[in-house]
Amino acid sequence: MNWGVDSDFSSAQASWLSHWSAGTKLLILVVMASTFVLINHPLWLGLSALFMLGVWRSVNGPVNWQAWRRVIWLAVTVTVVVSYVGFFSGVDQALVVLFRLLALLFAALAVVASTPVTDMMAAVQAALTPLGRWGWVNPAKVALAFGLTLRLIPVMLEQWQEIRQAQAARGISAAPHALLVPMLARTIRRADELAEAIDARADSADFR
Amino acid sequence: MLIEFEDVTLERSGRTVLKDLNLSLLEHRIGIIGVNGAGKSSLARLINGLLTPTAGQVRVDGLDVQLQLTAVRQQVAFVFQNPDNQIVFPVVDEDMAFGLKAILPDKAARQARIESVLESLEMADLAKRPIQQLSGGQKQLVSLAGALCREPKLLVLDEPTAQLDLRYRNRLLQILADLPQQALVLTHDLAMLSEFDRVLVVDRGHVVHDATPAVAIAWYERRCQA
Amino acid sequence: MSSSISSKDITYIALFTSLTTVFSIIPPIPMPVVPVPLTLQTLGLMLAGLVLGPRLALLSMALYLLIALVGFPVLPGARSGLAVFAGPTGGFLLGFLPGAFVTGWMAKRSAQLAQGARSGAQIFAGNLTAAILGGALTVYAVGVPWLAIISNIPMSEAVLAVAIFMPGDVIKALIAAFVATRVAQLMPTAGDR
Repeated sequence: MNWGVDSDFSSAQASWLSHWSAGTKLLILVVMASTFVLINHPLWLGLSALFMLGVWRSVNGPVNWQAWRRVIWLAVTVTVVVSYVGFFSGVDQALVVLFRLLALLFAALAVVASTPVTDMMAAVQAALTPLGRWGWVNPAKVALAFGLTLRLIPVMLEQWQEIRQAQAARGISAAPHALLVPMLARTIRRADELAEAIDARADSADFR
Repeated sequence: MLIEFEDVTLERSGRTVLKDLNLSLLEHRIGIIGVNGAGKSSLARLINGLLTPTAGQVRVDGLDVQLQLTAVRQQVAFVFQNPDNQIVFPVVDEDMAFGLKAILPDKAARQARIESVLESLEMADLAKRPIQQLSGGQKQLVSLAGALCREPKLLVLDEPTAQLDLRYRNRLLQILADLPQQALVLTHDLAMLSEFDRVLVVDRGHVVHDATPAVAIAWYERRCQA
Repeated sequence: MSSSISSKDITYIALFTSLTTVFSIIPPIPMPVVPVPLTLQTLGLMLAGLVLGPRLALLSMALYLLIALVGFPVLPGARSGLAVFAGPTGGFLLGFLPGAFVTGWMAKRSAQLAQGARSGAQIFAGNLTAAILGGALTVYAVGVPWLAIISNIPMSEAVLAVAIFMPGDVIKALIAAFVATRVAQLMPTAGDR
């Protein structure tokens, strides 16, 4: 998986919705989500779900197997929850919940499909700036922690594979604790080296 | 630049790592060798303030490292041994830009310098490359490039070739040979020191030999055979 | 608060966030006792709490959720963070925030209350309590009401729905407590307690 910021795992494509700022879309999503949770009427929820499906489809382009593949986990969750509700509370309630969940999910997916990661990052930065001015957070430190995390994910993945192979070569089974102790120990040792590297390079402008 | 250690003692975790160290380093290429645990790394880290001496003073270009840390760190750039544990951002030019804001507040100027340094190292095509796609040797060169962006007067390198294959070791040494900056290198790779001006041998917290590379290395090798 | 976060704090936060991500995206692992392979995501949360202490663990998990929200595939199933937050299991994710804090806080408390050197078993017991109360129960405390509200079911039914996951979480807490104890013994100067 490519962890560079401009990577292409994001499914966002250009559409009428991608011109809206990420912040606006998220705000609208929160308002809509709250509404869906408060409404209990199957008809309204059903219409909302249908509407959101339409929005998602118009933003995502033809819903091919790739799009469904992303959604499969969610589909499983929805099915399990709806079945559970149906079993305990009856079909009517199950329908309400089904439509509500579909409305929520399609809305969220529509936002995801129309908002590339860079837009979201810009929104986060915009949100952090006033907080930074009030002294609540240091946006530069957040940005460093963010970048450092992304930088480290492939490193840690490799570390995990190395440990698994080393333990397998020693004939030790892949028991979680046998893998996790060296994983955690090595992770902590990295912290000290990385902190030194940051100290050696960072200047006050990075952390003002 | 003159690097001075005056009566420096360093204790860490109850252990005396360096004792009553007095040094005056002015040469263009300085090597520091010694067995593991001798105190080389600690000595290097005192120069840019990553460690604080328990006693004594370290000065770089007349500046007290403890009192004028920011000014010292603008003159001294550090390259560490492990290519993976010194790169903090996921893309090459992003990482190189870290730490440059005070030196070059203008974003365009920063990017221009990054690109020109990469160009001078024949790595211009790597500017937008995700770090994850680079080999260990390339990562180490990226770290060196980032250090050079700061236009430091002194480069300190802690075992820079230890984790590199032969090809990248040679490339790094070639780059190092052409650099105008003063460089201080800690290493076990004795062959790389042949063109250096001065080599110090550190053992158990003291400088036990201090001479030209040929002499110091020969002395050290005899010592290690005993 | 921000000015008191050192560069070492930042590296610890980033390391545990990336560790939790790795635990989330690797394939589920066969576990003792439980017949089903489980994801290690919760282990990331528990270990962060036990090793980093309440403040840094909270920041680490907050960063994890932020990265998920922004759209990077750091959740199990490598799926979109926003869709998870909008769904019935969103609360279990949000619960990571108080969960990390409680885990760290309880682990710190048991160290403070002990007044002096503790045996390995005592450290383990402290860690286990912290991991279960923080890493499991606190997360449920946020996730279950969220699930109940979204699915129009009474809390008792929501609790029943997640009961099936509890044995797995207890196993994870045992593992996390063991690993954190071992590492604390091997590296006494680590972390931010």
